[in-house]
Amino acid sequence: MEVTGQPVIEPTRISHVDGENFSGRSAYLQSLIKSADDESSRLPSGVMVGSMTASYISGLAPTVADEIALHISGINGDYEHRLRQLLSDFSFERHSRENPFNLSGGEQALLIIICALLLEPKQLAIDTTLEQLNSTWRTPLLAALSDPVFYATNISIADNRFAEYSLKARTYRPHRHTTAGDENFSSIICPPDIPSATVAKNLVLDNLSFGYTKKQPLLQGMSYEFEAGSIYHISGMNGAGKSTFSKVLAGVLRPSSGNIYMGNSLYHAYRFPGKAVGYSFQNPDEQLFSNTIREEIIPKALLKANKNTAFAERVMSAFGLSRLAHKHPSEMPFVIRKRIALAATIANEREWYIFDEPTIGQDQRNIAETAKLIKLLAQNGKGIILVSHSEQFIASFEHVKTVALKNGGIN
Amino acid sequence: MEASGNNTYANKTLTLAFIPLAVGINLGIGSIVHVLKLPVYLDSIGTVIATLMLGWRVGAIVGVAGCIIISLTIIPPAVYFSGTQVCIALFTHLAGRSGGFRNVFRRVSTGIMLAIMATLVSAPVTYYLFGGITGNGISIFTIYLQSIGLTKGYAVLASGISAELIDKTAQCLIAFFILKSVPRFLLAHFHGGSLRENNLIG
Amino acid sequence: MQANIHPYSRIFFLITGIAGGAFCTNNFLLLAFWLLVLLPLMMITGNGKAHFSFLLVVVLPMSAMLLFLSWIVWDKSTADFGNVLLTILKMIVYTTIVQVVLIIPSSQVYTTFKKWGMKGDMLVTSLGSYIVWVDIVNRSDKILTARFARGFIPARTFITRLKQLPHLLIPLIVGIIRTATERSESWQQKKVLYRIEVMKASEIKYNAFINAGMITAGAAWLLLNICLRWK
Repeated sequence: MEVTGQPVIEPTRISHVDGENFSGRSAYLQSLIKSADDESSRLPSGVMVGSMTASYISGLAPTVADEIALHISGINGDYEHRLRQLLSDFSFERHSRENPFNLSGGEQALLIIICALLLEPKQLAIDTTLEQLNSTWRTPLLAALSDPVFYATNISIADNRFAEYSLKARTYRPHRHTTAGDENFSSIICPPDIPSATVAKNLVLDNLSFGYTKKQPLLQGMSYEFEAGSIYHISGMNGAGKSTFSKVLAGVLRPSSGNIYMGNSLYHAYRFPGKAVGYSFQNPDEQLFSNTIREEIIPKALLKANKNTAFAERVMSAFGLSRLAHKHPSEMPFVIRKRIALAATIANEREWYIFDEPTIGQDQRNIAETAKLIKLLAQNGKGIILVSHSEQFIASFEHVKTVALKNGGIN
Repeated sequence: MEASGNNTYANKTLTLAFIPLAVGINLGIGSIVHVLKLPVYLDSIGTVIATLMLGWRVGAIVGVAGCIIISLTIIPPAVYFSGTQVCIALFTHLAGRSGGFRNVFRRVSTGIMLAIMATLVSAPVTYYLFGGITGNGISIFTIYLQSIGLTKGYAVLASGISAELIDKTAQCLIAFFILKSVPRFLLAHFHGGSLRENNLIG
Repeated sequence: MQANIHPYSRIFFLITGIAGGAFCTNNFLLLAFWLLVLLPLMMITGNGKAHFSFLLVVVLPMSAMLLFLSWIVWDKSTADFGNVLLTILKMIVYTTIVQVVLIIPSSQVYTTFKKWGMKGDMLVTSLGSYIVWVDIVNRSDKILTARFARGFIPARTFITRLKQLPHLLIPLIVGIIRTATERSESWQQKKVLYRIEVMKASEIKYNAFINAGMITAGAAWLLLNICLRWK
């Protein structure tokens, strides 16, 4: 393809596909890609990336460098040049020899968007992938998308946090698209109160360190006091150690040195994993184990122990899942699976909760209700730790304390 | 994503995308079992699942690829039993097409017949290539049988069948149990196997 | 010293190494080949440490078991012991040869498979299977982490870990099937099956001396064993 003269920046080149959950945005994007596709051509015309990053990694490239090489279409050298420049700005070359599956979620999200662009498609659809990126990467990436270099690609973005991004785009609201089997899923509705039995004690870190190898500690000498009844936001770059930090607190990983205290008592998180700290993961599919939603949120162990299930029932109802209680979690769309995982974590009543990207894939209304629910938990004496790349979501909490992770320590 | 029943290119792409992941199932479960030193193999669950979903050719590819890779890291003799994997895929497909996984009784029967077939195919490899013993737990039983008077050939067969009966029956039951837990709308994309005959879809 | 092995050297060495081993009936020759050729090759390719731990953890116990069981069964004559030792040494030699040839550095996998003439479905299947292990380990680790975090694993004992197996399998396989369907759609959009054929392979510098030495050693090994066999 020859570039002659100055490329014209089409004001309609970038569009934001707006709407609530289940309003048909994903279906609209899929139809865009389908209509752009030319089966007879060997060049990709329409490419889509979504939130399940592992599905958009080819699975055929042993290294990140190979993954990038696989996607270089070579039609317009400017695309490749600009994108390599972007990767260099993000110091992404250090990952060149790594297996793409060893990258963190945010790193994978960046990789799949870059790779999709390298193909120089006529139409690119980004379905909530950007939500996984920290603003340090997201802002320059979005600025690059508007770059006239990419004049040949129309970009359609469905993103619940679009208002936070400073990106000029025209907005499109698809007509409601229903497929056979679609259900009317209720929104999250925070109840006026959720009575709970347990009140948290302060969580104190004393010189906590952790590393998978001795040479490269990920967390070094961390000391901090998390107060019960408060909401904390752990911030940091993609790959800075936020997930590792959360896993140490939840008792999944054993710290190499240091102690954790719950109130005045030493808390052996590693010996009793998941006992005092509940942890909700970014990807819900890794934490759904039961055949029905009811069983997932009110597990048999809870019933066997004859514990009061009122709290769990209220949580299930708040997340709009009571009506779906008999359904299999895996049959539900991603947004609902995310809610099930979140509800299961909260229902499993703990003193402290760590929520990793609790609002991913949720529209603004449900994000607001989730925030209300989290505030309610804090008001009832729970301790809350949030990991989120959404500044708007964090800003919705009036009294949130930010803990920045950098170079293995707390700022 | 719509079920791509008539689109052969879509089917081919789905098959090629699925094969490595099914190999991963064989590797994962086989490795765990081997490390835990359990008296079973459980290294063909991916083969059985792939066969039920996509047919015997896909199952055979999954089995052989899994054998080669697991030989590199955990179980060196595995590669010599690639032929067994092909036979497991073939038999599973034939059994599956006849509804051999439809109920518990049929699954157990399929497991038993699979065990007999796997033993008949593996025994010559064990006998001629490894002199009757491969160095795993089953070999102890082979030795015991020889010590009470059985010839090496019969000892290999008898010890093989005793291990395979538990192993292959367990694999048939586990594979079906797993597939039963997969949402039907996901399984509906896969063609060429025997999901319908065993009430796993439709 | 680390050197890159050329794909043709790998294939040549695999064939001559295994064929030579098949003809070999001398334990000392096998041991010498392993010590003087195979071990240095493992070190040169950067797999020395992994190979030693593999020998220690997998091959040694297996060999000890073979020896012990054979000692029980047979009449303990030296001839029988010699045969068992031959079997063990051949197993070690074959395993090492396969490892030298087939454990390929990640950055060279694609180039090696292409130079071996793999294309189409075979290339896709081989590449995918070769690298899937990392994906499976990551998925399993995340699922196990989630079970720990939900408090479903009260103690880190062998039995409680064993009990996790069924709970691990279902989300693992449901996730795999879901990924396969989404990935295949992505492949179709990206025309990956075409792209994998035309992808530009990375430039690799091969050490001429090492590769020539490897080919020579393989050829000499095969010829020597053929001559000795027919002597």
